[in-house]
Amino acid sequence: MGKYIAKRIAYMIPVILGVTLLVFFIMHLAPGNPAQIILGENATAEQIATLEHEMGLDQPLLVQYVRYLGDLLHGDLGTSYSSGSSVTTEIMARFPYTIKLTLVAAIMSLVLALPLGIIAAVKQNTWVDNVSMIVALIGVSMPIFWLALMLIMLFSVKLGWLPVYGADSWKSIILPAISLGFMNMASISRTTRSSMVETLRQDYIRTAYAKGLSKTTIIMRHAFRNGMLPTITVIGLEIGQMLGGSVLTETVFAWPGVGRLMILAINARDTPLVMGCILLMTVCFSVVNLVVDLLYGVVDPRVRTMYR
Amino acid sequence: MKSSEPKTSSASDFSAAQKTSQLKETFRRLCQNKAALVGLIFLIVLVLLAIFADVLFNYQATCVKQNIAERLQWPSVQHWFGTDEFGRDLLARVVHGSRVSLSISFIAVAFGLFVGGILGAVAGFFGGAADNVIMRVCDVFLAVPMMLMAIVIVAALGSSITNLVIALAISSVPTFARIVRSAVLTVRDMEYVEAAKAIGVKTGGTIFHYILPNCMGPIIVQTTLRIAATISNTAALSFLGLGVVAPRPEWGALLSGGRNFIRDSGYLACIPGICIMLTILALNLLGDGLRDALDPRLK
Amino acid sequence: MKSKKMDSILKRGVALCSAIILTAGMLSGCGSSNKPASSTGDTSSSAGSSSAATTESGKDSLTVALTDEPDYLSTCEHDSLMGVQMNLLTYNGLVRIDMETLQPVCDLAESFTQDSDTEWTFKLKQGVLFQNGEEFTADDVAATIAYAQSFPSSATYTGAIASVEVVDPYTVKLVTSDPTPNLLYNLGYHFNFMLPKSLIDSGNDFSANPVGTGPYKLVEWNKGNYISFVANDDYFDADRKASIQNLKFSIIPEGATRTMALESGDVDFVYSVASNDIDRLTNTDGLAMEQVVSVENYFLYLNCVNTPFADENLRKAVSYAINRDDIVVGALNGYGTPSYSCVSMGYAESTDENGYGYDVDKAKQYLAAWGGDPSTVTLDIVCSNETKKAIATIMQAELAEIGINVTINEMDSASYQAIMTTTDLTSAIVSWSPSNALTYVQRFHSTRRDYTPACMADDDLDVLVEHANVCMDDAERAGEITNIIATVNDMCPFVPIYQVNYFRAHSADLQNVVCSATGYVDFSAMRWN
Repeated sequence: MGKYIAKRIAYMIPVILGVTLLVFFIMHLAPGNPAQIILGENATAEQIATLEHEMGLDQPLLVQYVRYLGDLLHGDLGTSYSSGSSVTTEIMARFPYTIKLTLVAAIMSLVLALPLGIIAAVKQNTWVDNVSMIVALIGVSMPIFWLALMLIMLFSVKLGWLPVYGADSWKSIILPAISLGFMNMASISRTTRSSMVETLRQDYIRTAYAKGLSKTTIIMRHAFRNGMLPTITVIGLEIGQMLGGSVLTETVFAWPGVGRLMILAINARDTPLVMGCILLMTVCFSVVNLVVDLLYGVVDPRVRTMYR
Repeated sequence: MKSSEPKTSSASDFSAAQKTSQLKETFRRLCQNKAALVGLIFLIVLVLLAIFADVLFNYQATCVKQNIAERLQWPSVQHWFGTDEFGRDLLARVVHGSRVSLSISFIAVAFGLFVGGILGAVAGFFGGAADNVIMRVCDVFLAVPMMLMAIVIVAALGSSITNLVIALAISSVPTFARIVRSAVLTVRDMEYVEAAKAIGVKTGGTIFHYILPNCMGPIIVQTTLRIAATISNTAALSFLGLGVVAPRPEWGALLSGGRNFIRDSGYLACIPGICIMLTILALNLLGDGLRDALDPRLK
Repeated sequence: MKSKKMDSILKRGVALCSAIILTAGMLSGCGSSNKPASSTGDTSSSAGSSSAATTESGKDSLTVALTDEPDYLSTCEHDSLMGVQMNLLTYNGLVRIDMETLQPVCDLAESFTQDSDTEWTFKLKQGVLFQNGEEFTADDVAATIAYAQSFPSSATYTGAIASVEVVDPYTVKLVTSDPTPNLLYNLGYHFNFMLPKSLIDSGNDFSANPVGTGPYKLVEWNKGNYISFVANDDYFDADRKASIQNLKFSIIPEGATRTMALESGDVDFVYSVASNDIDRLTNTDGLAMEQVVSVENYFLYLNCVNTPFADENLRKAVSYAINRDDIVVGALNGYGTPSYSCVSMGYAESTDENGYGYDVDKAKQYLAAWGGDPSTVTLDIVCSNETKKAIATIMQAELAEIGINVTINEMDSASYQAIMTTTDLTSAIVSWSPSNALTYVQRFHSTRRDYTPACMADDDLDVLVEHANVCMDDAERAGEITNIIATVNDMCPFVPIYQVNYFRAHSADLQNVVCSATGYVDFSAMRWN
């Protein structure tokens, strides 16, 4: 197991290399010149050239890339073009907020989604199933900004219970987490339902019933555990995605997370900052995926063979 | 009931006659499921609306021509869905928009499912090095935000609906690969798969005839959900100038365009939102029904 | 200095209709008639009640909703509206641009004299303290200007200064390389805001540690979240000392959220109100709305170098075919001021002589004079935000009436900035708001052909601009500028669309809210009722 984890962490190195290479070339291909953006529309060509030289942007791309990797090896993510401060500082100012929001949103969506999915599977093709499906589908297809604005209107403007925006009290996380969690709930509960339906049809469930085990035991111990794999995958994907920032939610609730930081960085062609955000996201994804793969083994012993 | 080898009756030697009868059987069973039937009918009506949009609403006169004097009117007898900020009839724009939205999202998701599905199935089935390489490549692509990818695609290939589809498809490939892979893992070690391997079924045949049909549930669910996500991604991308160019209506763009008017003219965002929701609902009903109908264990 | 600038701040209620009267009023040089009190009257009363007001109302803090976060709190590393707004809190220049008159007035300078066309002597105020406790002297002026000149982006505002001579600790002499009528405006711009020499020498990061002489001191900058300030008790100008103790700027990018935060009382001031929420906030009890017709001009940039729009008649046809009233209604919910002159009417020198109304018949006449087939011309409009896209969508429908096909080309802001420096585009919707009319017309010189707003190249015009550029007589220069604008209007290098109206909403208890036509708000003058 330990060896497996070490191996997986080693696999992150090629991923990080791949990501940096891809992003580097993508940022290079994207129209827009960071030096010109910094100097504004009215800068002269000489001014832009001077700044490009200072920033090292006049070097061949490969040289820039190798230099970046060298810095990265030393743990230096570089300096943001647009704010002049270190990328690590910029990201670390926001990442704790993103983690907070992700955790609360993930808990909220799980608390809602798992029971909804399980009940729907057990009561397949009844009204319970249909209601749970409609609730889930509203979640996935409702525009998140619409839900967010309605929540603010009701709980903040009308009732005055919760703050409209902000990130500095426990109260202010509730609305963003609900709107983010509601969206993810759909996908989790639908996946849970369908894999549970699948599992409930398996032989060993029939066998369990035949043995006279209680329904709750069968559902929770046998069916749920075995039907968890796709659910865990989806949860992993959603959490990974949320850790990379959730632009719309952050925008509507003025939540200072990494999602908006990255969008602003992309708009400023701030390559070091974009790279920093994407690397953070990559590491989050890799870690979450590793956890997911480990959980596969916990849930389903058959999968454990792959740990070798 | 030999459920340990659920597909053996139909998989080892497919004859044309068997295939037809299986299709008929599937369709018969689908029709018995009322919810699935409702979904199917809704989708057929929607597709017909999209095909005959020009017959119902003249594109130039209703979707393009502006009438500032009649802007932002709430739904009425004259304008069933109200008018937008330029005084254009929202119903006409929604109907014409269904054309673009449906084709974009179906094509993009189909492409993502096809490529992602193959990658995921191969990764899940073979495991080991193939799994590692495929999943790491997926990780790399999963890490690059769609928006960034889209900007570059536009810069490299220019702005068009085709490139919008490419951006959307690329962004859904890694997701599908992961989902399919995990679904494959659940059935990979089942006895009937081992049995198929043992009797010498080729690898491709094993994956397509034994593995994929038995783990379709989560895949169908993700596919239908992904269509919803694709429509909302279209909205996000349309602001970057990728693809759907004004004045052509498209659901995602209608939805996010209505965002600015959400408090005083909420219908502008709600109506496209409801259309998207009903479409996804119908797809889900159909998807669930289809899965049940395809499942030999439920015969 | 003459008060020839109109005051563009309107009180709620008179807002809309006044906007039209205002446009006319600008030309006749109306004073501060719409504002209840003149700036001197205001500030003296504010100073008298500054300590009292805070204790009486019990409220000594103000939360402001900002749309965008500034990138820097330092003076030389940016040229953004939000950055300057923040600079105004912590720094001062030798002069400041009065927010109501848009004219330069003394700030850190006690007085100044113009010794010749190129020589200026400034007497400094004595006993002014920087926020680190050091006294402000002539050495700081010399150090600051040298520091600012080391930033290439400051060239427009510092380039003309050839030398700074420290005469004595409270006297500096500035020599410009050419006669520079804009010198005072430049000194009032953030690049030339005064910094302590000791900190410049020690390499201080003025963004993280913005030490100036200003009315507020930075408390905390929580990136992406908020920036908070506290009043500077040692501020040198007793009349303009901040009344509100604590100032917090929250970054709220979404317009609807800003509106609701004001409605719920979470914020007291919204810097920029989304046009769809103006009616709602105007009609909400307990809230007040400031409307400012700004100098920011939106126009349709046309590439006159290598497209069919190099033809003047074709440009005029486009200009006459556009109904600006419809654009203001359709894209701005009615909250904008249609513009018919190439230079914003917000400047006193501006004129709409030779401007264009909406006249489809005339458009067709010009199309005929051009002689080409309109269906062969495609006007591809580059847009970089939703408002611009809405404007372009309306133009698309309107230009279809005269047979010109319009395509809308949306871009993200970086791609937009990149393409604007090239001639690889046909047209774009652009806005520009320099602080005075001279800066605007300087761009009509052929050497500035590559810059916003227009690719002009006309020998006669060059002569006119060169002359105005070095004309040190205010009245004469104003006349020349007006003449240039009328000439440019006749050439129709681009299509003016509208002037932006700025909307700032706030709690009705907040008094003495001064908002400038160039986009700034005077937070140090505000006080709670």
